Amino acid sequence: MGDERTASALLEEHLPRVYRFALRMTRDAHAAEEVAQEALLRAWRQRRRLRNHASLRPWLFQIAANVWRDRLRRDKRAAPYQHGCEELAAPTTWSPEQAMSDAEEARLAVAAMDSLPARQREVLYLHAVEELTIAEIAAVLQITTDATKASLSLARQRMRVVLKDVFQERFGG
Amino acid sequence: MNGPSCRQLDDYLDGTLTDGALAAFEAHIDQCDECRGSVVQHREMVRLLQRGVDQFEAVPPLWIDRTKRAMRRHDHRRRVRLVAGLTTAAVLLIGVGMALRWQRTAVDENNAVVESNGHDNEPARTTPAAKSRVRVSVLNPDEAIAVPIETKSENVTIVWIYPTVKVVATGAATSETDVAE
Repeated sequence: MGDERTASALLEEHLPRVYRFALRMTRDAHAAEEVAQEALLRAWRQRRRLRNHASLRPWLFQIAANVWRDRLRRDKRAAPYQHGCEELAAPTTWSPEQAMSDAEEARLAVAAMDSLPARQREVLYLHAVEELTIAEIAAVLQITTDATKASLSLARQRMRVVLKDVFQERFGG
Repeated sequence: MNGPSCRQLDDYLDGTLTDGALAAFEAHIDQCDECRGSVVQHREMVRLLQRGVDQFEAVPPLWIDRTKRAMRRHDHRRRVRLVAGLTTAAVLLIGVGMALRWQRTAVDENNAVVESNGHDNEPARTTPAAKSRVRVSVLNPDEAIAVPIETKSENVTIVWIYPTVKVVATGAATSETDVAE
């Protein structure tokens, strides 16, 4: 019973994380709300199965990823979110002449991440923001660790290109 | 970024180097400006991403409330379903129990009638004599059987008498002879 209460409290605590991961996958606030809520309800129903609370985060993200995959299969309307990712490419919103605040750079970095292809975006988010290990990310997205590493490497390269000016401004050279 | 150690940059950033390799690569970073620059840029990118997500992706408070309510509602529905299921099971058990009891009572009553009739395998039969209030007897039971028949009236009973002994006519002939004489 105590364990169940802990699991419930932890689940409630992780609501924002699941929402943000869903937002990363869907790139649509409304769809993210639906996906995250469905994922959390699934997790809520199965919360008694959760033995190791340390693995809660990857478990929740995995459920959210499954919900999103199910939706993509079921509902073709999700496709525009993926095709539209290039439109959100960040560099156009910033010019080197314009001195940027840290907050603006942070916004630019998030926009750059959102401009990445879906797999790279998800892998980068889980690694950089959620700080999951490569093995955990592979489990969440149901891909191999090699595929995870390859996607992460590509994501980093693209981010370096997109944020080149930011880094030059900040670190010089 | 061509040395053998430089190729481990991605593994370092991924966090997949073993302890020994990690120490070696950290020593390499001190010597290699390019790798050091990449690591610094990566850390800065991570910091900006974490800050950006925290700062600009506020979770709608209404959504949080809605989701928590949905979770509670799910629990409530589960409890209601559980109670309804238990109630249904209890009602079914009581019904089956009562049906079995009624069935057993009927069998017991039936057996009692059969036993009182003296026949093990035949159903109980009621005869007119059993219903009739009139008691009939013949003087010599070897010569006749009296069977009372019930009628619609309680005050009237018809009695059938079946003779079981054939009447011998020798006595009558003797009389005729006697008459002729």
